Amino acid sequence: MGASAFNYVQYGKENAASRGTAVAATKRWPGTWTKLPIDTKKSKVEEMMDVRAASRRTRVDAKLVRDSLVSPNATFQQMPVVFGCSLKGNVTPTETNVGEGDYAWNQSPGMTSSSNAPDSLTIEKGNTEDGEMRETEFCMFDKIKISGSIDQEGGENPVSVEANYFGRQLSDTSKTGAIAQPSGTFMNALKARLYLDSAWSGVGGTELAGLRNFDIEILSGLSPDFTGGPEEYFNSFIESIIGVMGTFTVKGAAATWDIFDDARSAGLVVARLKITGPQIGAGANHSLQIDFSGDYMDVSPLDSDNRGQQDATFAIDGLYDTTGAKLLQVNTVTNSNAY
Amino acid sequence: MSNVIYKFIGEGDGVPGLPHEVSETEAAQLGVTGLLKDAIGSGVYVEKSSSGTPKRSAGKTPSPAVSVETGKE
Repeated sequence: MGASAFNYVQYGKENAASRGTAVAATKRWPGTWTKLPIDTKKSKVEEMMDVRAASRRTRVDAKLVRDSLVSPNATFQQMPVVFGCSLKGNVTPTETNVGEGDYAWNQSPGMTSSSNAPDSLTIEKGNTEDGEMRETEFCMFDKIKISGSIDQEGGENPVSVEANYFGRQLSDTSKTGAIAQPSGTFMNALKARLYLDSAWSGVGGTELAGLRNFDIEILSGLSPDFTGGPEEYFNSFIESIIGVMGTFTVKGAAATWDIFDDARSAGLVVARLKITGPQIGAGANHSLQIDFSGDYMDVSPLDSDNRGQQDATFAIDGLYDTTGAKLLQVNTVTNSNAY
Repeated sequence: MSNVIYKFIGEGDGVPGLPHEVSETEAAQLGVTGLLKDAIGSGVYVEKSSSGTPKRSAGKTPSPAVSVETGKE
C-alpha cells in the first residue's frame, strides 16, 4: 500500500431523486482513515463430495459496505452533512444575519410517518500514491457518536465525531481530482455547556454546571432494504425508529445528588448540549446544539475521583415526550451553506 | 508552454499540492500539470488576467452545487 499520508476520503451529495446514482466528489472529509471495508460476505458451502474435504466452492450473493467517517478533531462545518444524511435531508439553511454567512441548519427529524428525506452520499476512499480508489454510492449514516472530554492540564479539547454508514458496493473508479483541503472551525469541548429542564417548553433554561465530558449517540433508524430483484445490492432504504442516548460526567455537587434522587423514579428530563465557537463575521457564533428528552439511567453521584474531587456520571436514555411531541432536535450554525 | 498564471478561487484551503497562484511553467516544474488541469476543469482554478481580474478558462462550467463558505470569522 502507498504511504498513509496519501490516503483520502472524499464525498459528493447524490441527487435526492436518484439515490444510488454515483456522483463526483465535491468535498474532502477532514479526519482520519479507517481501513477499506470489503463489500461482500463470502461463505464456504459444505457439500458431500466423496472426498476428504468439506467444501469445494464459495458463494457471494450480495454486496453491502459498512464503514465509518471518523474525525477526532471535528469542525462545525462537518455537522450538516452528518445530520443531513441521517436525520433530515434536503434542508436549506437560513442566513441568520444577512450578509454575514452565518447559516443556521435545523436538521431536527420529524417524528410522524412522513419521510425525513435523508440525503445520500457517494464516498470515495483511496490512496493517491497507489493511484487506486474505491467508490461507494447510496451512503447514509445509521449511527452517530459525538464525544468530548475536557483536559485538566490546559491541553486541547477536541470534539470527535464518528459516523457509521452503510453503502451499496465498492467500485474501482478514478479519484475526483483537485478537491480543496477543507477549511473548518474546530469544536472545542471546553466550550460545551449542558442544560437540564423538565419540559421541552423550557429546554436550555437551566444549566448544570461542571461538565467534564460528554458522549452523545444517535441512531438514525436508517438501514439498507434488500428485496428480490435483478441486482446484488440494495435499491432502497428503511426509515425506522430514531434513538438517542447521552452520557455525561460532571463535577460532583448538590445538583448531582438531586439527579440521583430523580433517577430513583420514572420521569422526564429534557437535555441540551450546546457547543459554541467563534463569531462568524459580525453575525452569530458557530454552534452545535443537540436537544433530547429522556430519563436518567445509570446514575452515580460519587463515581470517580478527580484529583480529590468527586465526579458524577449519568446517562439520559431518549424518550419521546408526548407533550412536546419531540424526541430530538439538532441545530448547527456555521459558515457553510451546502454539503 | 505559455506562462499563463492560474489562481485558486474555490472554497477551502486550496488543492493539495497546488500553490494558490501557479503558472503552467511552475506546475510543470512541480510535476503537477495534470492536477492543475483537473483543477481548471472543475472550476476551482481560473486564469489570472493581466488586469488582475480572474477570468475563467474555456474549461468545464463549475457545478451549481458548489457551496459557499464565506470564510469570515
